[in-house]
Amino acid sequence: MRAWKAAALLNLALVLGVGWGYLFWGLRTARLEQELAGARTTAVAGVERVWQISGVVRAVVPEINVLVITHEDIPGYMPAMTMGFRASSPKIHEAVAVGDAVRFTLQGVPPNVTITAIEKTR
Amino acid sequence: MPAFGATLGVEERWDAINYVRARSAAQAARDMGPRVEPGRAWLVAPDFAYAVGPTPARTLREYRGRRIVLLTLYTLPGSRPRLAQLADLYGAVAALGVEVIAVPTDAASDALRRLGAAPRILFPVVTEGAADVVAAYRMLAAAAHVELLIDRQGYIRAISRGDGRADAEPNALLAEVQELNAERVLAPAPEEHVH
Repeated sequence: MRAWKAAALLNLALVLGVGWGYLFWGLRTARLEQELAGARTTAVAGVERVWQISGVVRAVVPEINVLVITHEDIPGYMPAMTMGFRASSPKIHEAVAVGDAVRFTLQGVPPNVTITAIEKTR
Repeated sequence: MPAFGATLGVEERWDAINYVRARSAAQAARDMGPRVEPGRAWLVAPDFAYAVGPTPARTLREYRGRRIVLLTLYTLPGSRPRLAQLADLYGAVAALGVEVIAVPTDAASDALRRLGAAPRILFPVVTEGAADVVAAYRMLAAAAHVELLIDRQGYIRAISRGDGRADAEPNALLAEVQELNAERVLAPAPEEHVH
C-alpha cells in the first residue's frame, strides 16, 4: 500500500513538474517573442539604419529624383520587391541606367530612407 | 505493359507517360483562343522558377490562390508596342489581382537593359530561367508574341498569339480578367505529377 502511495505521489510530482515547466517556458517564449517584436519595431521605426543592397535598376525618374529598383531583401525593413527610392543627390541617378545591376547604400529612418551611394556591379 | 516495359525502369516509364501527356496537352492547347471560356479549366500551366536580377527565385506555383498571372513571351523588337501597352495597363491589371510576368524568347540575361528606359516597364521581366519557360510554353503556343492568362488555380484559361502589335482593344484583357474574377472556383489546384 505504501509503495502504491509513493508511486502515485511520484507521478503527481512528475506531472506537476512537467506542467509547471511547460507553462514557465511557454510564458517565457511569449515574452521573448514580444520583446523581439518590440526591438524590431524600435529598430525599424526610430533609429537611423544603413543597408548595403543588391538590385537591378528598373526605371529612373529624374523629375522627382527617384530610382525604381528590383531589390533583394532589406533585412528588418522590407522583403525583395520592386520599389522606388529617392536619391540623396542627382549624381546618383545620373550614374546608372535601366537594366544596370547595382549595389547601393540605403540610409535613413524608415520609411524616410534615401539612396546615398550606388555602383554598378557588372 | 507495351514492348518497352522490360527495358525501362519505373521512373523512365513515368517520364514516357508524362511526355505523352504533355504532347497531348500541347495538341489540345492549339484550339485555345484569346477569350476565357467560362467553366472550362483543364490545361495545367507548367510550373517554372524564375528570377529578376539578384532577387530570390520565385515559382509560378507561388501565385496559386493569390493572383492571376499573365505570362507574356515576347520577342524584340516586334513586341515593343504590346509591352508598352501592358506597361500602361499594369496599374489597372494589378489592381484586379493580376501579375504580369514577361519572358524574353531569346532568354537574354540583359533583357531589362534591352527593353530600355521608355516606356517604364515595372512588372517582372525574367532574367534567369527564361530558356526553360520558353521551351515549355512554346509547346503550347508557337508565335513571336504569346500571352497566356493563368487563373488562380494554376490553369491556362486563354492564349493570345501574335506578333507583338498593340491590341486594338486594350480593355479586352481587363474584360477577360474580370471574367476570371467573377468565376467561382472551378477545379482544385492541379498536382504537378501524376505518380
